[in-house]
Amino acid sequence: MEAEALSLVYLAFGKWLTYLGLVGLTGAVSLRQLIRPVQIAPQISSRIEQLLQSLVSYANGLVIAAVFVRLYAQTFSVFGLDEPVTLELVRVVGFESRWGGQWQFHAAVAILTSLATVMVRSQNRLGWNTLTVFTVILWLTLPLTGHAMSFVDTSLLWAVQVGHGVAAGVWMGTLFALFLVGSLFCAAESQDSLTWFATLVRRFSRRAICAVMILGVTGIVTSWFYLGSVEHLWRDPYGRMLSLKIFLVFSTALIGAYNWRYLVPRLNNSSATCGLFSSMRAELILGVFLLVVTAVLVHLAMPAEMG
Amino acid sequence: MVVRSEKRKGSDMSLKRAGLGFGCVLCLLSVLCVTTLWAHMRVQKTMPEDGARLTSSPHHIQVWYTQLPDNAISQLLLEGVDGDVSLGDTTVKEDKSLVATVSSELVDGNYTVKWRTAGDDGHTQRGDFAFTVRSAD
Repeated sequence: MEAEALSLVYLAFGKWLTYLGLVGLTGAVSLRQLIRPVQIAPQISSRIEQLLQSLVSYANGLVIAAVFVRLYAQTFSVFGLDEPVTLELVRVVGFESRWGGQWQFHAAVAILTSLATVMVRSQNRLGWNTLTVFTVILWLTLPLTGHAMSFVDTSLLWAVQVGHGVAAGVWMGTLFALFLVGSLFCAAESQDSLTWFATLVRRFSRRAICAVMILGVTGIVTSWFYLGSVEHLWRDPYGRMLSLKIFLVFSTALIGAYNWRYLVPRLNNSSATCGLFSSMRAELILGVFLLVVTAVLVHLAMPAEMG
Repeated sequence: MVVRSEKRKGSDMSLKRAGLGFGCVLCLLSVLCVTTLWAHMRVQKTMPEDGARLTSSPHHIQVWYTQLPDNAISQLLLEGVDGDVSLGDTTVKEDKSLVATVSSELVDGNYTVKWRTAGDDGHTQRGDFAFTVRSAD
């Protein structure tokens, strides 16, 4: 593989890990908010809490690992094509380059999020609220090293990018957390458990619809600025990758819509719940590939830049 | 013992599935990256111009971009018939250009300028352009 292509693989891999971690954190925080008003048996409730705490730990770990993967990837993309990557070169990129200045914000917040994770795991009463705040700040700092910074008026596109990321995190992340938690309800094998799960799924469905709408609007605005004209969708590498992303989003949303309109109203027995699990799994697998395509897309040149 | 071996089989299958899934993601990543390379920042103009035929050695090399180059990682290199030609330090100017002085008089021949920089979005760009020095006599 050519060095430049390898550089893009590293950069996209680092961004993909970041997305996975952020989506996991967002999902845990979002699902916990959904669960709180629902009356659930204490033994199941405590197991759900433990599951969400584990999800937070793994997601936070992914975000921190991704911070350093991205630093290495950026260093490789700058220097690695001409010479071996050394610690000194990593230092130059991380602490002297413009990219590094923005990366430091995100890295600092990622490390501080560990404190919030510890608070959550030690069941500090401010833990989940603190984690929510840090998760939002992580999304706020992520676009600082991306395409949005290329434009003269960066604030609008930065805000749109943040909205896009948070909406994706709420949709995919909450779905993933719900999928994990659902197994606890189904293992309990009681009608009460199925009822609680159905209530949670209905609450999630309303939230997911809002998230998908925000995703659509922010996606259209971003595409408008980054593409320049519709014909770039098929003429330009960035446009073709964006077309693939749009296809995956529609496919994922279609499965979600099927779940919402057909499966969720029938969630009163175990066979319907199993059907929903299979559908959720398909939605999540598509979501993983969607994040891969997005991770590559954000490292390609926008047609608007090429003129 | 039957229960333990069943559990071990189950976790082995989960590990295999996770590994297969991860492998698929890496393959997809690689395929997408190999087939979709492109550049980001644009070069507006160069001095000397690309393909120029000069009758005397240039005093400096300068490349103008559409975004302000990142000083920490920017670099200009000059290659001639006898290999690398010494240049002064690469500096960034307010007019969004990179400039480096040519340390010594260039002899007649073909030269290639290679540049590396990054714009506001941090994406590293590389490129080159060529010129010829052919003294008037």
